[in-house]
Amino acid sequence: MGRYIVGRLIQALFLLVGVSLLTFTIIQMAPGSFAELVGESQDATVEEKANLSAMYGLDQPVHVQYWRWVQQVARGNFGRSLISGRPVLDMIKERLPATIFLNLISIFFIYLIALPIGIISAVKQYSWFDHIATFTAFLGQAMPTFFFAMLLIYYVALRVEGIPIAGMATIGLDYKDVTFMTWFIDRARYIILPLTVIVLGGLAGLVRFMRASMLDAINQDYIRTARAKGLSERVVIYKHALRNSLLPIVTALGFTFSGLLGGSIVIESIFAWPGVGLLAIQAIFTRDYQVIMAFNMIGAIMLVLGMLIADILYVVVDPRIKY
Amino acid sequence: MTTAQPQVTKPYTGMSTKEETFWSLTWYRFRRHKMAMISLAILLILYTIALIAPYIAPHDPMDIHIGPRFAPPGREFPAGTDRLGRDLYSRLLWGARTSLSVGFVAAGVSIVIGTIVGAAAGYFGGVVDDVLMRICEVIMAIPTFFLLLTVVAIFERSMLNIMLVIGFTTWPSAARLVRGQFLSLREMDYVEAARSIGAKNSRITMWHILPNAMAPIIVSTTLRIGGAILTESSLAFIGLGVTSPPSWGSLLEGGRHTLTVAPWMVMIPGALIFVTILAYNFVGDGLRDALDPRLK
Repeated sequence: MGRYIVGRLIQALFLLVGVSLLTFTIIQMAPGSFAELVGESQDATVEEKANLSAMYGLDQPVHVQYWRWVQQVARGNFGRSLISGRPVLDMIKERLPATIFLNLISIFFIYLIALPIGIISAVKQYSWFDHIATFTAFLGQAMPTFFFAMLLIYYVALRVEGIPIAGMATIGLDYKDVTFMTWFIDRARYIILPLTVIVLGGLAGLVRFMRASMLDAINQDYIRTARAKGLSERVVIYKHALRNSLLPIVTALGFTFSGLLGGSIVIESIFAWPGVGLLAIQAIFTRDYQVIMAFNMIGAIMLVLGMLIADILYVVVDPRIKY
Repeated sequence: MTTAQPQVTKPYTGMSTKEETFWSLTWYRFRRHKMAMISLAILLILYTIALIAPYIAPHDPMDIHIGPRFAPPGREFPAGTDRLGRDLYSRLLWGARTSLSVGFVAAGVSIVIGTIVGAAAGYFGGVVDDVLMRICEVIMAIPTFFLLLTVVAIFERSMLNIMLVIGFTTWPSAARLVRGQFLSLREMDYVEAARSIGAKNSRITMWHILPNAMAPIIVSTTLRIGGAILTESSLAFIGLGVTSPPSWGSLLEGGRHTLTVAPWMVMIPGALIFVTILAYNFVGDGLRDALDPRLK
């Protein structure tokens, strides 16, 4: 087990080196340098542009720039933003709580709602419940998140009093000054729309996945054995089948989390949710390379960690898997 | 939906007058999938519209001041007008061209690269497999949408570039799918037989293995087209989509900030995107059932 984890960590490290190389290459291929971009808006002379490039080390050969960046990152330093001049890590750190807050609550609700629906769908296969659930899941998978968000804004937020369409909390409302209930209600009012969009978007896939996994478990021989030896249907389904069907769902968790991170870019931009997604969009439009690279790296780190945790959990929950 | 319908494979003995090829059987099974057939009809209509858009559009999609600003859908302007008085109906017809072509080409690029890489990895195995799969993992480790944003933001935003970028960022999952097929198929007896009579690698992969791996590739291509249309419209929504002529996503984005004044500018393109993706998903599902009845 220990050796397995060490092996996986080394593998993860190689993966991250690959990701950094790829990101770096893509950014290097960009036409129109940072100095050009800033220079244009400031009417800079050729000399000033050259100075600007030299200041950020952008006039160095590619491999020197890459090596410098890697050295920095290894020390936990993602450099300074080319635009605001602030350390990238600080910028991301102050935005991360909002994104994690939104995503964790979303994941909680996605699993809370999707698992029972998927399980019931599988147990009562071809029932009206199953038909409605699978059909709705199908609709949900085809629904673009931004369109759904616009529908919610138009039909709910603009008609119902007290549901704001942008932001995360009332400005000036400090949790130290008010009671917990006031704070909670304020947060709830702001989160309800983005949460609904993310949860309904994520539900569809997980419902189908859970249903398939549960069906797979129900058709196994040990379920027939369990029935044959006279166990009650409840024990057969909810003890024997359910436990085994949850195994693949565990692995999905790692992917869900990093997937939400990418998806939250769109959601955050719609609802002006002050998370990393908004930061990422700004960075992309201003070609703030340091922030873009950091964002790619952090995204990859989260995915790799997610998969690692999923793999380890897999070993924990399934005693048949040995390393 | 589709998984909910029991697949009863009728005996085909009654229709032996016609020659039964693989494709005629597939079509026979596909036809029984009601939603897939409706979806196929919708897609055919949409593609026809996309093809003849220049002939049926009443106005130039880029001409401004054709009507009043923000005219609601009515007799003169079936889909209303936008903030510059452009005819939204004509813009939607042209948008079908853009959106559908993006989906088609992007999915094509994705599946072609994926098939070549996956076939090489699965057939040769060993070091080739290791190297190719590590590359796939690296690309898959970056959240797809962000990778896409990075590349789209950096390169010139032409329609061709957006198609290519979507294809280039999504091929690894296709490669893994094809690799899996090739891994199992290369062990088949008929491959051994082909090898024993001296067939070259290129012949074995192209003529013996690939045709047998086609079913999942076709299904995946169908789903990828819908996915690519969705991806382009998400990019467009952030302001990084195809704008001349505008895709459905870009049209929706154009109405994003005037939702209260002109909701039709968001609702109509949004509904079209939704219906198209839904149709592709249904067709993909129908094809999955039809191509391989054992897969359920």
